[in-house]
This record gives sequence, structure tokens and C-alpha cells, in this order.
Amino acid sequence: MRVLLIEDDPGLGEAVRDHVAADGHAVDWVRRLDAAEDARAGTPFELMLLDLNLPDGGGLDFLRRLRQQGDATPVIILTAMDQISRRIEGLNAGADDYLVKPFDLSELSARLAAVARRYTGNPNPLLSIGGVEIDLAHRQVRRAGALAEITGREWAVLERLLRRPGVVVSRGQLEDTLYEFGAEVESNAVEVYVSRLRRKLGRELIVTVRGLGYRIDPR
Amino acid sequence: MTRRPAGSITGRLILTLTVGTTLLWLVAAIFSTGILQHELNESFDRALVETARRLLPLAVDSVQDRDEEQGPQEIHQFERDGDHGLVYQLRRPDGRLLLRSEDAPAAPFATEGSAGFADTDDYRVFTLEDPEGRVGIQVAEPLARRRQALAGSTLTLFLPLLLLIPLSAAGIFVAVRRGLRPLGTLQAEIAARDGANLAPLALSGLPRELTPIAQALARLIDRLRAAFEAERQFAANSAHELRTPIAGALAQTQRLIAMTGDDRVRLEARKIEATLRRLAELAEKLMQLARADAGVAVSEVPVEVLPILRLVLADSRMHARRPADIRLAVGPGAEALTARINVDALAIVLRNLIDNALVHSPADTPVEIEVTADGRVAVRNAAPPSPPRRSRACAAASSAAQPPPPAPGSGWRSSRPSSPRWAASCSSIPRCRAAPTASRR
Repeated sequence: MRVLLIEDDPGLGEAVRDHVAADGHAVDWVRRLDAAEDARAGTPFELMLLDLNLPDGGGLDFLRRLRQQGDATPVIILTAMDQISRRIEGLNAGADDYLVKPFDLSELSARLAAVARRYTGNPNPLLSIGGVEIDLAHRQVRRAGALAEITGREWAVLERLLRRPGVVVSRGQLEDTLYEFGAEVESNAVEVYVSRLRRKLGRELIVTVRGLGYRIDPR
Repeated sequence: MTRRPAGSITGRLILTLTVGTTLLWLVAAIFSTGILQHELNESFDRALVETARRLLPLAVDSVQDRDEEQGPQEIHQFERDGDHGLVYQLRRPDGRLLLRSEDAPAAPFATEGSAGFADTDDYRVFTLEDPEGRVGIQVAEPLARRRQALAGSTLTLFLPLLLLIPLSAAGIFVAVRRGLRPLGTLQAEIAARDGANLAPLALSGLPRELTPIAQALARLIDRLRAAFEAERQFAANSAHELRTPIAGALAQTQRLIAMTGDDRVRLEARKIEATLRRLAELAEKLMQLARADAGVAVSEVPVEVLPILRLVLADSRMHARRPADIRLAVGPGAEALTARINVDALAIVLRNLIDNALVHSPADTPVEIEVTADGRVAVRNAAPPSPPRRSRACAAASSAAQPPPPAPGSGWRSSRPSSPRWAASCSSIPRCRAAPTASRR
């Protein structure tokens, strides 16, 4: 999942970015709202983590503008403002969830996954596809009952494909997902990770659609 | 130097007006009595003169041929009712008594001089002599009779005052109370305002004299409200300043735990993580206390209680140190329960009660929350009852806003400052198996 993190505190921003990336998501981290606008203009994000007090404005105003423009990207507010009134205000402005600082990174992962699942229309974190059982909440995959070792990047590709089982995901979209992993993304990176996933989870799980991309076979 | 309390305006007004009116009436009555006495005396004197003038010719005629050697003649009067009225004596210029009325003294009146008025010990006497100087007549009126008439007249003037003074006092009382009623209304409006209720004063219908006071108070309340709001904003901003670095440190520590392969480093990092969590909890409590002290707990508009409770519940479940079994029971008609409570103050109280119930709840037992339509939110766990001394102290702390006894992890501390502002009840009541109950109404 391509995530935009808008957080001005360097210590927290760095830790959140690293953690979300380790969860298998591609993270763009900006510290100001104007930088966030620029990032949005260039990249379609699938989720935003939004701080409220930013150097160049309020996060809530940014969120309201977003919704007024018809942008339905899921937004999780990360803020030190813990008052219920502020939380209600945030949710009314269009936030999907509200996380009060300080929070556990594991809690952030759970919220992030829950919001993502809600948006993909599959709130159930447990999937079973062709003998492969996938626990999205705990990022565990079992094949024939045995736990499969999945790396962060492999998980990122798998999670992107699982978001809409049966729907074709282009190679470019998968590359975007891997983009945050930086210089290590090479031209054949998508093929490499798809190949590794097939080896671990079975060749039938991921179907190649020639000229278009890949899809999960939901049978 | 301390000033004595000014007392009641109503009492002072009633007393001053009643005493003033009474004094004025008394002065008027005394003045009238003086005039009346003067007029009465003149009237009585005129009667003496008139009587003497009418009697003298008759008397002269009747004594003209009289043998004076026989002594003074006594004139009998017709029947009288014991009213000792005018008496008279007829005498020669040398003082020899020729004739007297029946109830006149036998001895001549002891007056000096010849004609005109004179007073003896018992009589007011008028002397008139005939123009030829042969006889003189003295007509006298008993002074006691005159005094009695004067006293009667005076009494007639003063007696009505005995009734009028209490009546006027009652009238003044009613008038003052009615006149000061707007002051009472304003007083009640002001009395309803405190740190928890800074709603604008109702200024309509106040008399012209009170409007400037009410307007000045309204401005003061506005300034207070702004000061409270600034203080609350400061607390909220402080929360941000404090929480964000803690959040950064906690997140970096958790990253370190996730990344390190060294067990010793992981162990040390977990200690730092635990310390940071405690620091975060402490900061949260401090912020809640700051808000509770600065915040205005009474809301001008009613808020729905259940959505707030559900948000708080979700938070408590998430932050519970172990899997939390929290059961919410909403009574009939309580789904739309509203209260005039500040949303954040309510959330602080609920959060503390629920967290407290969770912390002190025995393992594998639920925490039950019950909301009833009469405005009661009860939070119960299955913990053994608090010692009576502590329960009493909690109740006392709630009702009298006294600091409660130290109770680490308890919700009393941070829920305490808010509760007096909206008259919450706070009690620890053993039920069934003596499970403690804390409720907010």
C-alpha cells in the first residue's frame, strides 16, 4: 500500500515511516502540508497518516479540503490532541480513524490494516485462497497448515494483490508499492517477488495476465 | 480594617422608610396637637367672655334691690349630669360676694387685678365689671375640665397612628419586596454562575437602574470565559508539546526492539519502553487535571452521552494492559440520553472510571457499564469492596470537593475536580457480593 505520512516531528516521523515500511507498505514522509499537496499531485496514495498541528497549517483543514475535492483516500489522524471533542471533530471532517500520541506502533499497524481492509470492502482479516490461509492483521501466511516465511517486500506485493482478489494489478502499480524500498527496486523487481511468492505459496495463487499485470486467483 | 457586613437592602429600606414615616406622622400629630390646644383654649376663653357679658346685666338687675346684709345669694342650677361646667360669682368692687352659682366656691376667686383673664389653681377665671363700677362678675371654668377636653382631642389625633404605623410598615414591606424583585432575579442569575457555568446573563426585563450592573457583569463573565478558554487551550497545546516527543521516543524504542538481534539490548529497550509508557500515562493524567481545573464542565447545549461513552470504551479496550471484557448495557430510553456536560469533561470522568474499574478488576471478570434513562452511568467491577474509610472519603471528596486520599491508578483523582461543577454523584457502594460501584449522574 502506498502511504503518505504527514508528520513534522522528526523522531516520530522517522520511526513511523520505518515501521510502516517494515510492514510492507511504501511510505512517503513529508513534514509540511504544502509538501503533502505536492506529493498528492504526483502520486496516488492509498492511505494517509495525518498529524494535526503542522508548521504551515492545521491538518483538519487539509482533510476537509481533501474531502471537498472528492478525494476519498483513507486518512488516519495521528495527533496529541486527545480530547473527545477534537476526535469527533476529526471524524466529522472525514477521518477514518484517530490515533492519539503516544501510541504503540503495533496499534498503528492494526489500525492501518483495518482501515485498508475497510476500503477494499473486505473487513475480514482472515483470507483462505486455494489452500493458502492469510492473516492480514498478523501478516501471517500458511500453506497447507505450515507457516510460510514472507519478507516485507514480498508481503507488500501480496497485500497489494489481495486488496481486490481477482482484479488485475498492473506491473506499474506493483512497482509503486515497492518504490519506497528505494534504490533496490530494479526493473525486474516485480517479477522477482512474484516468483518468490509463487515458490512459497504455490504457482496457482498468482496468475499472470499477459500485457496487463497480475491477479490473485480467488478460487 | 474589616467592614461589617452591610446587611439586607430590603431590611434597611423597610426599617428606614417605616421609621421615617412614623417620625413624620408623629411630628405632624404633635404640631397639630399644639394648634388644636391653642384653638380650644381660645374657644373656651371666648365662651367665658360671652357668658360673662350675658350674665352681668342680668346679675346687676337682680342684685339692685337686694339686702346685702343677708349674705351672698346662691343660685341653684337645674339638674346637671355631674358636668362641672362654668361657675360664676357676682361681687362688689371691695370684694364682697353678692351672688354665686351653686357649684362656685364660697370664697371669692383669688385673682389679682380687676378685669380680664386670670388663672387660679383650679379655675380659669374671666372678670368683667359693669361700666358704673358697682358690681363685677367672674365666670370661671374648672381647669380639669379644660385639660380633659384637650386630652381627649389629642388622643383622637394619636390613636389612628397606632393602626396606621403597622399598616404603613406592611405596605412598605410589600412595595420594597416588589420593587427589589428584579434585584433578586439578577442575584439568582449571578448565583447560578461559577467556574462551571459561565452562560450569558439574561438581561431582558431588568429595570433601568440594574441594566448597567448586569452589563458590567456580562462583560466580566465574557472575560472569564475567554480566560478559561485560553487556559484550556494552553493545556491542550501543552499536551501536544509534551506528547509528541514522548510518542517519538516510544516509537523509536519500539523500532529498536523490533530491529535488534541482541537480547540484552532488547531487554534494556523494553525497560525504556515501559518507562516511556508510564511517562505518557503521567502526562495524560496531568493534562486531564489541568483541563478539569481550567475547563468548564457545564455545556450550554446538551450532548449525547452514548456516542461519547462508546468512543471512550473503544479507547479503554485498546489501551487496557490485558484483554478487557467491558460490557455495555443501555437501559430502555437511554439510547438518546443527553446531558448538559462538556464533552471532554464527561470523557475524562468516564475514562477514569472505566480505567479504574479495569485496573482493579479481578482477572477473567467483566467490567459492566450500565446507562439508564434517568441519567445514571454506573461502572461496576467484581473487585472486593473498598474499605469503608476510603469509600467515605471518596464520597466526601465528591460532595465537598476535598482532595481524596491517595489512590494510585484510581479514577477518583482526575474525575474529582470536574464533578462538583455539574453536581455529579460519586459513590462506592457494595452490591450483591459487595462489588464496588461508581456512578455519574
